[in-house]
This record gives sequence, structure tokens and C-alpha cells, in this order.
Amino acid sequence: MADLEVKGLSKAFGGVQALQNVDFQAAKGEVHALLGENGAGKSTLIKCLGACQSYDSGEICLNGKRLTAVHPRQAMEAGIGIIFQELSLIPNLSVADNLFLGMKLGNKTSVTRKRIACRRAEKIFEEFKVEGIDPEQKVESLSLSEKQTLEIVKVLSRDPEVVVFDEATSALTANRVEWLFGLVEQLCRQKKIIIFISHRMGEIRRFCSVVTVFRNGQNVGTRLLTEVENDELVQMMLGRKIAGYYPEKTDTCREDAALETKDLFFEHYLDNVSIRLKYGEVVGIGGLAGQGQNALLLALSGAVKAQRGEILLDGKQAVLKNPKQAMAKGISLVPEERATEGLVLELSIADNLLLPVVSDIARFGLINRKKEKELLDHAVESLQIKVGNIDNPVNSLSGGNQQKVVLAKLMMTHPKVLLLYDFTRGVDVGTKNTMFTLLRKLAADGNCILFYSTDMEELVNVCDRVLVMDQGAVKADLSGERLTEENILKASIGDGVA
Amino acid sequence: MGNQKNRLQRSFSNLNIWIPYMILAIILIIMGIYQPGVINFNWLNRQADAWVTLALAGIGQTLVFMIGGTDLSVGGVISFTNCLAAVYMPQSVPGILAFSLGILLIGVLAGAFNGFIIVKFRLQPFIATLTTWAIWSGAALCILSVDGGKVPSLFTKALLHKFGSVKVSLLLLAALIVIGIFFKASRLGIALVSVGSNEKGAYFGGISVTRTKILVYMISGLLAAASGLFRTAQVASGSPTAGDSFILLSCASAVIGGCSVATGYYSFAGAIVGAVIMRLLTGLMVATGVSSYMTSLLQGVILILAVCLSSFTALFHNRKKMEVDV
Repeated sequence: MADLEVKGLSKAFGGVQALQNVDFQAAKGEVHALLGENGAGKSTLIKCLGACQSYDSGEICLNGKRLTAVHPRQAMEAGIGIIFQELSLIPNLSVADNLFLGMKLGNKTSVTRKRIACRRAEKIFEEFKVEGIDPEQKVESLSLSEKQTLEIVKVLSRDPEVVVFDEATSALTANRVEWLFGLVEQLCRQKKIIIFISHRMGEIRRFCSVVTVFRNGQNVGTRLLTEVENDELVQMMLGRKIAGYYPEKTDTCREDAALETKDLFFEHYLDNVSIRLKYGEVVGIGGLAGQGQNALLLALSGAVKAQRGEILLDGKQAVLKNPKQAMAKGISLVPEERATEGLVLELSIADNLLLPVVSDIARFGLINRKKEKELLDHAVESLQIKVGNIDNPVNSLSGGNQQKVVLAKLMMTHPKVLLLYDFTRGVDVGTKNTMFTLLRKLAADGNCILFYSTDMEELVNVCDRVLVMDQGAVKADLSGERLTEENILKASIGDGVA
Repeated sequence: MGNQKNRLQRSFSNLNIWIPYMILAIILIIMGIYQPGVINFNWLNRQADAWVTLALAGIGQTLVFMIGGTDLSVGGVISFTNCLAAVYMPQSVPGILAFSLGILLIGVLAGAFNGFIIVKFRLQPFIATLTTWAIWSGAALCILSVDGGKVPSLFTKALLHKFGSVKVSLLLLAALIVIGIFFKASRLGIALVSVGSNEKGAYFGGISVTRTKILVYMISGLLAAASGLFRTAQVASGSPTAGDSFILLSCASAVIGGCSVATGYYSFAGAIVGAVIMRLLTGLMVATGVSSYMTSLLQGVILILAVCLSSFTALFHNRKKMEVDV
């Protein structure tokens, strides 16, 4: 009998069968990867495992004993530790308080708790070799990568028997990924059961030994990673063969500049950024996480105003007071947190899509139903959004499909300049392919696209040109032959580029 | 270097916390100028009675605010416990003790009921506690339709007793400040911030959100009942509308006390200072001859100013960060 065994697990959300009679096994000392498109059922399986969600039928056994947890705390006590993709940290509490959230700390209600917590946090950070995080700091003030690190340490410090990484690397900076790699190796030696969810093939190959593929809520097979090719895995995930992972790059760049910045400056965030983007061009922004990329996109989209410097649109100075004004001028942003900044989760898919264009299709306050339907059909079709019913709320969709809705929503306004912030984070291969194809098509139609990603492979294969940012400044402008992953990495870490 | 900057930033964001103390200092200075010599230990002793009733309700309200709720039922619970004690409290010592404990228990149960219906039926705290306020006020009216009742003198003496020269109220205030420090470090104290700040995260982090919320409402109910008991002893009679003014005042104490879901900061001491400020301002209005009809109006104005001020300082703090400003 396997150490962790899931037998006949089923779970339905309304009419959608998220898990269908899933069997799954994992053994101690192995790193088990879960692969699958967004909405394939990986996250649901993990949530059932961690008792964050109930299931309709089936059972989960750990070391031959059936798990009966109904609250996340009980699952934790049973030895299941889950590092969530959606960060479950409390922004208003200190790092130390987060680390020991819901835990007993020796003396229950003592003023010295804070000191004890800080001291123990320091010890834990030392044990896990984490540097640069102050236990007294509020979590709010940490960067995304640091938050993810803290989330990992928080779960591991509770010494669980089963460790689940649910896209734990998606927000980590490159050196932290190395750190995690060492950590996983150590967990392996300690004979833990490790489950690893990621969309990055390279990481899966590095971290894992076994892989189980999910498709449409079913387990479609488990393979040893040494005996399986990427193509076969992709085929298992998709159930069909896709021609190329990345669309072909063609030079569609035009002469005239679309968007220019001159010495854009914001203390601690932007350091005299001057860039020039042309129509028909896909420009990437690279660099380590948190080097001002977000600030640049926010400034360009009108969401925040830079302290100094100017933005030029079509060669004329543009005053962008807010995103609405920027959108009216043809600049649209896909924000960092798609859930909180890009969509109104409780509204229906249709309403979300129509939000930016309501005034266009309405006359005297009434909405033109025919026009509305035309627009919606076109949007759903062009992006291949998997929707049950367009009137369902957006939060009924999986992450990847939500991201497609964000993009479709922006396309409704026919922007000239598209700003994309890490919009492939947590998106599966099939969806990425659709999105990249769309990006290239938009560029060919003469749009200008600025695209920030933490995935260098993506940048190299999708963009015509990549700007590498470091400490708020653009340190390198790579194109043509010079556009390679090595060069991006070199520029990010402050090395000169040949 | 980076660490130092961080510290500096942190102390800047903590400016908010000192506002209640600064306001208090300003009021005391003004009072000292206009009525020199009036502020002394005896004055403190006398005032403490008025402060403690509001401070108790204000602390309860602060805790409820921190989980993103409101508790309007404090008004009803204070009226009800006041009337109940004024009418039915027996004369004997064991009787008084048992009755007082019973009243505190009623407060806990009232709070538990609030928490239960809010959590289990997913009601808006505002609506839920508005209805329970009506229920308890109604119950108070059933017991005592007009002001009156007879409070055992022993009970009055006990709660107004002086240990040496220090009144029970003053001791209780000091005790509450100390309890507050321990409470903030307790698991419940941390759990309630996490529930208010990121409910889903708290749930995934293994905190029982339901239990935390119900517990907080129970504490609020308990403190309201205690406030009702003190009020009974001080006034030595019952009034079915005794608690109504506490609704606005307790909210004002909490807000002026500097609690904020956005930053996750709260303290018992802050809530007490908030209560003291509200009492002093009301006293000041009476002393300067503002009509009692105007008092409520001015209290409302003060509350809205306090709310705007606390949100303004948060805004000012955020300017320094490159964040989206809607």
C-alpha cells in the first residue's frame, strides 16, 4: 500500500465535475509532480487533501489510516502541509505572528509571546537558511517573493509529513528557487511525501522524480520523469497534439513610435526610465522580481503618477490621470493581481466583459442586446474561453480562464497599447499557447505590446525586444541575436552583456 | 541601512496610534488653563466612574471592529442589564454576587447569539445587531417602562468602594489596560486580527474563523453587561433607555482609540483613552452651557472628524508607497 493513497475521489461544483473518481498514490521520499491544464482538478485535489474543501465520495488514506479532517487545522495536525498558490498570509500581522498563526507557543497568553515568537522565528529562518526577513516586520511590507518564501517556511516549520507545493515557485526570484531546490532535496532525505505543482517544465524536471497528469478532473496516468518526454506529457495534458509551444515570430514592427517615456522617476521605484515602443512590436520587460517593472506598468496605465518625467503617446505628451483616461487614449493594462484588480469576481462573465464598453452599447441608459451578444460571442470565441454559461459568476472559472476573461475584457476597447503584467503566471501550456498566438496577431495588426514576465524562456520566444530592469532602471535593451536567456539573466544580476 | 529606513517608516505609520493620547493631552491642557487646579487625583477618582462604563463598551466595540463587524446591541444589553439589576437584585451578599454573575452570563449569551446568527446565517453584523438591540431594548421596557427601581445599597457601595483612596472604577481601568496587553499577545488576540485582515488566509492557516467571531461578540456582550452593572451602581436606579447613547459613544471611543482593520492595530488603552476623550468633551459641553440637544449633534461631528482623521493619516502614509489610489 502506498504511503499516501487517494481512492475514488469525486467532487462536483454545481454541474461541473471537478474530480471524477480520482485514484492517486504517492510514496515517501519521492517528489511527485502534478501536471495538468488549469481547471484539470489539481487544485481541487489538493484542497480536498488539506480539508479546505469537502468531497462528495471517495477516501484519502495516509499511512493506511483514513483521514477524517473537516477543518484545515485538523488536516495540519494529521501531518498535511499545503503551501498555497493564493497566499494565505495575514498582511497586518508581523512575520513572526504569521509563522505561528493558530499555534500554541508554550505560554498561551503572555506578553513575552512576541519575544518568544521573534526568537523562534529567527531560529527557524536560520534553520531554513532564509536571510533578509525581519520577524518583526509586517507581512504587508514584504515583496511577493519574500511572502512566498515565508509561506513555504511557515508550512515546513510545522514539520508536516506530506508537503504540497501549489505553484510555490511562481513568485519566487531566481536565487530563491535555488534555495527551494536545496530544501526539497532535504525533505526527500527526511522521507517526506512531497507533491509539487508547477507549470514550468524545467522546474518539474529538476525537482521531481514522478509525474501524474490530470485532465478534466481525471487522473490520466503516472510516469517516471526519466522515462517520459516533454512532448508526451503535453499530449497527455491536452489530449491532443499541439504543433509548437510558441508561435512563430515575424517582424511586424513599424516605424512610428507608439509610446515613449522620458526620465520617468519615482523615489525607490523608478530611476529615470526612458523607453520607446513602436507599433507592431512586442516588447518584454525582464529582470528579477520587484525591480520596478510593476511601477513602470502602473505609471504607463495611469494608475499612479510618477513624481517626475513625462509620457508621450504618438509623439505628443499624454496626461494620464487614471486608468479610464488611459483606456480612452488606447492604453490598457492587465494588472498584477488578476483576481483583485482585473475582475469583479462576483459579477457574471458577461458583465465583466462588458464593463469597459457599457457606454458604447447603451443608448439612453438601455443596453442594446443584439450588439451585446455579438461582442460577447466574438470575445469568447477568439480566446477560446471555456465557459459553461456566460451568465455564471467569474469566480466559477479556473485561474487560466479568468485570465483569458481579463484579456478579452481589455480587447473589447480595442487598445493601441497593451500592458501585460506577468499574465501567464499560473497559466497552463494550452492557454499560454492561445495567448501568445493572440499576442503575435495583435502585434501584426499594428498594436504595441509591453509584456512583463518572470519566465525568461517566454520573453525570449515571444518578444521582439526585451528590456531588463534592475533597481528601477532599464539596464539592457536586448534584441535579435543578443536576445537570449543568458543575456537576460546576466543583465538582471548586474553583469555586463556582450 | 535598509533596516533603519524600515524602522523609521514603521514609526511613521505608528503616528496614528499616538493621536488619541495627543488629543487627550490637548484637552487636559485646555482644561488646566481654564480651570487651574481642577485636575488632581480626586478629580480622577470622581471621573473614573463615568469613564469606566463607556470604556467597557468601547473595548468591546473595538474588538468587534477588528473582525470587521459592528455591535449595536451593546445599547440594548446595557439598558436591559441596568433595568434587570435595578428591579430584581436581592439584598443579601450571596444574592448580589450570584445575580451579578447571572447578568454577566446574560451578556455573554447575548453576544453569543449575535455571533451565532451573524456567522451561521451570514447576516450583516449591522442588521443582526440592530435587531438584537431592538429586542433587548424592548425587554428592558417590559421590565421597567419608566426610570426607577430600587438598587440594593450594598451593591452600590461595593462598586463605588474606595481601596484607600482609589476607587474600584479606577482600579478596573488600570486592570483593563494590563489585561489588554496580555490579550493582544494571546492566541485570540492574534486570531481576531487575522480574521479581520484576511479571513480566507486565516481559515487556511488553521484558525477557526467561526469560533473567533463568536468569541469576540461574546466578549463584547460580557463587557456591555459589566458596563450595565456599573451604571446601575452609579445611578442607583434603572432606565430602559440607559444604553442608547452608548451605541454612538462606544463606536466613537473605538475609532478615536485608533483601532483600524486596515493596519491591524488596536489596543485596550487606546479604547479607554477614546472613551475618556468622549466623556471629557461631553463634560466640557455641559460646562460651557451647550444645550443637551446639541450634545448628540456635536458628538456625531466629533465622530466623523475622528474617522476622517484616521483615514487621512493612513492615506498620507500610503502616498509614500507606489500604490494604486482609487
